[in-house]
Amino acid sequence: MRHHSLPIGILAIACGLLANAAPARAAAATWVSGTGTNAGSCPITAPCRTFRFAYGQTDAGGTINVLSPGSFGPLTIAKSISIVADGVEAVILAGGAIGAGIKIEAGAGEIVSLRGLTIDLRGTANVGIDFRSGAALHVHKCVIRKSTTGINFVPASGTSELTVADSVIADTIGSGIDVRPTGSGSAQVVLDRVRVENNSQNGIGFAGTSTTGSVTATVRDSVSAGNGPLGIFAAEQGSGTTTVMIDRTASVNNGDTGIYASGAGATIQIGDSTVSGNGGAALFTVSDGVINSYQTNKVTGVGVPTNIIPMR
Amino acid sequence: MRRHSLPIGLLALACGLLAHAAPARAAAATWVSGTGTNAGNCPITAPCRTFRFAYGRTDAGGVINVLSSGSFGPLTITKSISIVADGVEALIRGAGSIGAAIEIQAGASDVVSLRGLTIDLHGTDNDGISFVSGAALHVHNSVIRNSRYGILFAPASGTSELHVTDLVIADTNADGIRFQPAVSGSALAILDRVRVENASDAGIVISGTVTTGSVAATVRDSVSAGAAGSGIVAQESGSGTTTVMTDRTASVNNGTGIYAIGAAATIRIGDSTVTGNGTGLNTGNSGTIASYATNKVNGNGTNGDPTSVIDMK
Repeated sequence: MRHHSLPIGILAIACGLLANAAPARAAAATWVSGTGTNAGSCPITAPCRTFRFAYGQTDAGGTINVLSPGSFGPLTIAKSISIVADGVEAVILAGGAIGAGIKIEAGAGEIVSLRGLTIDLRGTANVGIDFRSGAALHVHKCVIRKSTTGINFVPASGTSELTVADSVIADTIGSGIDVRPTGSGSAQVVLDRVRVENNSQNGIGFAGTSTTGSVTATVRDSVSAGNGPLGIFAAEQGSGTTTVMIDRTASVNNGDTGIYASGAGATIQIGDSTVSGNGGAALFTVSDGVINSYQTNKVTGVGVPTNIIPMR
Repeated sequence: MRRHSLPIGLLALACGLLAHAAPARAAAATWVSGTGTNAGNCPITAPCRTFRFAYGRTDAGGVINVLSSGSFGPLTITKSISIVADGVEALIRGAGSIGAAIEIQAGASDVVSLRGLTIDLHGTDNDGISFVSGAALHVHNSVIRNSRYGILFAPASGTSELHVTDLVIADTNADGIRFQPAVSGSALAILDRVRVENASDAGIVISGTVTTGSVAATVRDSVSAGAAGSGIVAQESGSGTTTVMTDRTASVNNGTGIYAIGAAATIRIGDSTVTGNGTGLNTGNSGTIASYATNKVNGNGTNGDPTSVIDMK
């Protein structure tokens, strides 16, 4: 009787081709298009269809480029990568099985750069950008809306950097930006020309309460408006410090407090900023939180800074 | 017997056509596309594929335009030229043998303008933009990342200008910007709405140390953040002066925020923010930080103080 079985080698190759696990040829730069096809190595002459497929074809440290507008699906990132959507719309409409528009679980030295994305999760219960680990995340010229938390920055060890610039986070059912390291994680944050609007929970929050590490943040030329309870807060009851510089920024029209500091390790410095139209207090501290003012702010509403500090 | 040789004139013409060294017809404006083909003189109806090829087809003082997104390769510039990528992505992801994505070795009166570029060198040991000579360089609305220096500006003679607006320089292996003329070169810079993030060395270095000339820079409405070294540093140990005006700028989350080194190095600082640094304000070798007393300098490991307070007018 003749055996009708494939030699093991051929069977393995067939399974490899079917499994579409590792790419046959990865590239330093791949391309996606809203009308592309997920096949091959995603060159500009044959762009692919989803971020996930192109990501698998892109070298660590490489670039996924958006050639023409489209909806590109959620993505888990576990290596250094840059996604560039310049002059085109690149939308992510659902978190899918990932649970976020973009989830970042990168290594300790790895850097992720996202530019020009629109993440609109249409009210589904997923996070916009969920950062769990990595050296740095740059978010430039992005729009995040209708997610749960817009940017959830929760590294658990080491020090991670977050830079958000020229971006809008709006209409979420969570917080706009929530920086809340866990374990021993620390965060260094710059929010520059960021607009956080009409989020159901807080606008911008910096919490060192869940980590033994520290949070250091600058909020510059930004707006936190029309959010739920708190416009901008710093919270620290743990063993580290949470220090926030609020510079030329407006915290206005929020449901409760404009600027809020909670805990002895929480310090907010505020200058050339505007706090107005908030439902409760303009400035509020609890549990020995500190608000230091350069006395250059336009503040309407209840509350006074803890200290007046000099400019230099 | 009849001679079967071409008249010399016809022979020369034939050789010229075959050699394709100088372009048969250069143009004032050429076009490139990510799916173009390097042939002809790069009209919009038949765009070319690389900056280098299109450059060879572009008149001095002309314009290379990016028709549709693509990756266009490194370029050495030796004449006045403008590259425009408006509403499209123009990626340069390698430096080839040039050592920089864009290398500028232009003439003393030549002006180079770059707009809308994305330079990502994927961590290789090459510079984003290297300026060796020329009258002026404009860089607008561009991104440089994952390079050695983001911009290395090192003219060796005369006075050159650097004009930068709306530029992101991120994740460099060396300084984000090193503005350091050499030999006898002088240089003037305006860095406006520049964001330097996560440099492995310093963010912005303004240095007259290796030139007999002088260096002046204004850093306006900019951010220098997350540098391992200093966010903004002025250095002068040569025979000229190095002067920096820091206006409405944030130097944050760096090793040192603002650092002036050398008796002829002066940084003036107003309406700026220095926070989250190991040391906020620092000077060495009799450097000067002169403050308009309008800056927010708190929340650093050590805040430091300006060396003098100066009046606004």
